[in-house]
Amino acid sequence: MLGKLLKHEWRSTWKLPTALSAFTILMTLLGALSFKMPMWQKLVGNNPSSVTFVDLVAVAILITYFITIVVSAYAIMIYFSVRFYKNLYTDEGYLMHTLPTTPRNLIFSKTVISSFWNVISTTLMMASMFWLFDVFMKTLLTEAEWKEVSAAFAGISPSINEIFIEYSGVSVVFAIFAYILTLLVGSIYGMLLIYLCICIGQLFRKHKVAAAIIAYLVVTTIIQTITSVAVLPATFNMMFKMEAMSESLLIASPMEALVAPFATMMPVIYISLALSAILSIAAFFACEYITKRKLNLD
Amino acid sequence: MNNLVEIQGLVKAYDARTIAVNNLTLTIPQGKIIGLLGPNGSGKTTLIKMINGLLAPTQGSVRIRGMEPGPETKALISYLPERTYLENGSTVQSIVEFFADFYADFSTEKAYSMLAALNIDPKARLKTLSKGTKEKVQLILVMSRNAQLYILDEPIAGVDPAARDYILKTIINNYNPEGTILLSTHLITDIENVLDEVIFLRYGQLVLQTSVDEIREKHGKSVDAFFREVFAC
Repeated sequence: MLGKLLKHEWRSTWKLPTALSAFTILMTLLGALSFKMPMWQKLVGNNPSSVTFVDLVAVAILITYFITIVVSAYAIMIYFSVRFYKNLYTDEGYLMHTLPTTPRNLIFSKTVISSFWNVISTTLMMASMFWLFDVFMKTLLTEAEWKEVSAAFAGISPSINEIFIEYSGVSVVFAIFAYILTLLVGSIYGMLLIYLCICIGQLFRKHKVAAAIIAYLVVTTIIQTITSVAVLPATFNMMFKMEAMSESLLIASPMEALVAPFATMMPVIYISLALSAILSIAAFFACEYITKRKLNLD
Repeated sequence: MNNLVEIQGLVKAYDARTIAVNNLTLTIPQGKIIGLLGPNGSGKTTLIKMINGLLAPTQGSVRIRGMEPGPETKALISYLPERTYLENGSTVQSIVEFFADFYADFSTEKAYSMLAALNIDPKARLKTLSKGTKEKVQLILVMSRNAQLYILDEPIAGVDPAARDYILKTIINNYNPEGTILLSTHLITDIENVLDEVIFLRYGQLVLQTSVDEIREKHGKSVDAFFREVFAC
C-alpha cells in the first residue's frame, strides 16, 4: 500500500518541482553566460566605458537568478505544505482518509516525496551557487592567475586539513559533508515541522489554518529556544578556545588562526544535525498520532 | 453474525453545547438497503463520518464486522460523501487507476462501461467537467466496488429529477446484493420504494429503526408521510 501511495503522490506532485528545478538550471546557465558579457571584462580590465544594453540584460539575469534561488527553495516548501493540507484536510481528505491504509503510510508517503524534492532543491541550489562562483572567479582571473591560485590552494590544503583535524578531530572533507547533511536534514525537518503544525491546526474546531500558523510560530519559538540552549555549551567552548588562541596565534600562525574557528564549530553542527533528526522523528509521530486519534474532518 | 455495523453509546460533542450525535446505539444488518433519515442537523453526516473513521468519537464505539474503523474496515466500505473529493487536476482515467490500485474489490471494467454509457471521456480532466458530471463520476467509482457496505451521503440532493433517476438506477443495478446500502437523504419520496429499512435520527439520537413494510402495515402510511408525522414542527 505504501508503494501505491508513493506512486500516486509522485504522479500528483512532480510537475511543479520539476519545472522549478529546470528553471533553476536554466537560470544558472544564463547566469554563467552573463559573466561572459563585456561588462565583466571592462570591470576586470579596470576600463570603464558606457553601459550597453547587453550589460543591463546580464545584470537582470543575475538578479533573476538570485530571486529564483531564494524563491524556488521556499516555493517547494510552500507547495508541499499546501498539498499536505489540501490532500488530507480539505474535501480531498474524504478520499485519502477512507483508503484502506494507515495514517502512518499516508504521512510517510507525503514526507518521502516532499523530502525528495526538498533535498533535490537544496542540492541544486548549493551546486548552482558553487558552480556559478567558480565561473565568476574564472572570469575575474586570467587563466595563469587561476592556475596560480589553484596551485597555491593545493599547496596549503594539506596544512589546512591538518589544522582542522587537530582542532576538530575530523577532516575538512568530512566537515563539508557533515554540513551538507545538516542542511539536507534541516530541509526535511522544516517540512515535517510545517506538517505537524497543520495537524495541530486540525485540533481546533474553527479557524484551523490560522491555528496552524499560530502553532508554527509557537513551536518554532520553543524549538529555537531549546536549540540555542542545547548548542550553548558548544558555543561557549568555541569562544573560550578562540580566546585562548588570541593575538599571539594570529601572529605566530595566521593560517591556524583562520582555520581553527571553523574547526571548533563542528560540535555545533553535530548538535544541530542530531536535533534536526530527533525533532523530525518526533514531528512525524506526533502527526501520526493526531491523524490516527484526533481526526476531525469538517 | 448478521450485523455488519454495531454502534454503542456513540457521542460526538464539538463542545458542551454542540452535541451532534448523542448516545446513539444501533445496529446495521447485512444485505439491506437502509435509509438514514432525519431533518437537517440530526447527525446523519456526523454518524456517517464516524463510521468511515473521518471523525473521532467523543465517547462510545463503532464496530464494522467487529473492528474499529481502520484500514481493514475501509477496505469493506464504499463511501460517497456529499462533496467532491477528487483532485480537480486529475483525469477520469487516472482516478479510475487510483481506485483500482487501492481497492481490491474495484472493477475497472464496470467503471469504464458506466462512464461510456454516460459519454464521459476518460481522458477528460475533472476541472473541465460540470458539477453534475463530477458527481456522476464519483458515484460510478463508488458503485464499481463490490463492497460490503455502501455509505451514500445525500447522493440525490441538488440534482434534477432525471439525474435522480439515473443515480438511483445506478445504485440499485450495481451494488453487491450481499452487502448493505446506507443511504442518507431527506428526499424520501424518491427513494422509499427501494428501501428495506429506515433509521430516523433527531438531535443526534435514534428515534426509530424499523422496516419499511412495518411502517406501511402498522401505520398504514408511506415512509414519507410517516416521516412528516414524526418530525412535524
